[in-house]
Amino acid sequence: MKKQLATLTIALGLFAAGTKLEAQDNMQDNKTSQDGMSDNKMSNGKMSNDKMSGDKMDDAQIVGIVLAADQIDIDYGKVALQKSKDAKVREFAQRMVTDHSAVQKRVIELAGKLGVKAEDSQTSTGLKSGAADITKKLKTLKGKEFDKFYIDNEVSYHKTVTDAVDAVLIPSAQNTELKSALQGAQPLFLTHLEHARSVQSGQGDSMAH
Amino acid sequence: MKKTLIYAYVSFLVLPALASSLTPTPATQKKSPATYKVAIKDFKFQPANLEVEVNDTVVWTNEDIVPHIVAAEKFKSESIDKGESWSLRVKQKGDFPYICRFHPTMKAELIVH
Repeated sequence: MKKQLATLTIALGLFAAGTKLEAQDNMQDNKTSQDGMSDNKMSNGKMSNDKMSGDKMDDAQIVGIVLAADQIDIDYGKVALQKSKDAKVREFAQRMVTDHSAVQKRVIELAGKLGVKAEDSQTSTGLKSGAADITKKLKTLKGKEFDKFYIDNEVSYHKTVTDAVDAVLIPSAQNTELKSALQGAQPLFLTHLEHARSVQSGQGDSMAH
Repeated sequence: MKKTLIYAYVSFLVLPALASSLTPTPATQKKSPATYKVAIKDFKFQPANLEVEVNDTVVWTNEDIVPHIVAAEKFKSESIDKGESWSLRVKQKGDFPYICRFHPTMKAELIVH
């Protein structure tokens, strides 16, 4: 369990803060990291393994993490819809808002049914704190710089989330329905990751009408 | 007696055979139109490749929690919400690759014979 929590810490710690650095790096050297798992980036995360090692993750905290992660991407998408003029970026952003809202609704309904009340944890608060920094950065950018930062961040974000869902959240979930819901949500996150990569590589959506 | 037998032969064997040879019949029996189902589930079209014939109907049903749009160069659905279906009666032969308009990495193909 400690190992799993450490993995989540690494993964989501990057998500919280390292992603920002990664996106900034990408803007400078035009290179894209798909996983961002370098030591340098880890050391910039706001959460450390030590902080998480004493935590016991329960279903309420898992629900809290999933809701936080969904809300963060909804908020990024809303910023993109306000600021981007690129049709493919806007379409992607709209999809993030719509799809993550649907997932969020389902998680809230399921939590209600199971009698699980979402709880904050170091991970979920770390996510929110990191997201606030990224949102602040997004608001300072415009034009192509904004689009690149947003999409690079989305690639990194979804890669991190899909890894964390597989490696930590699904194995940690105690309730079978919650576990099943997480497994059911994974294809959505993976589809978003592929979509983000296609926009990032400039392929976008060639059959769009 | 012989004459009667010959007459009977002409009536019962030759004439019907002659008549049927003059009636045009299709080379193959025409198949009645069929309906095929495609599930949109776990962000995949299932089956991803489907072969049908002209005048068949294909019904896509969304089993995911988010909306999808079936989109090819020759056809496009409206947004199909969770639990809803969209059907298409195919009128044209050809290979029709299609995607989900909302999630363009979801790809499949409809082949119409």
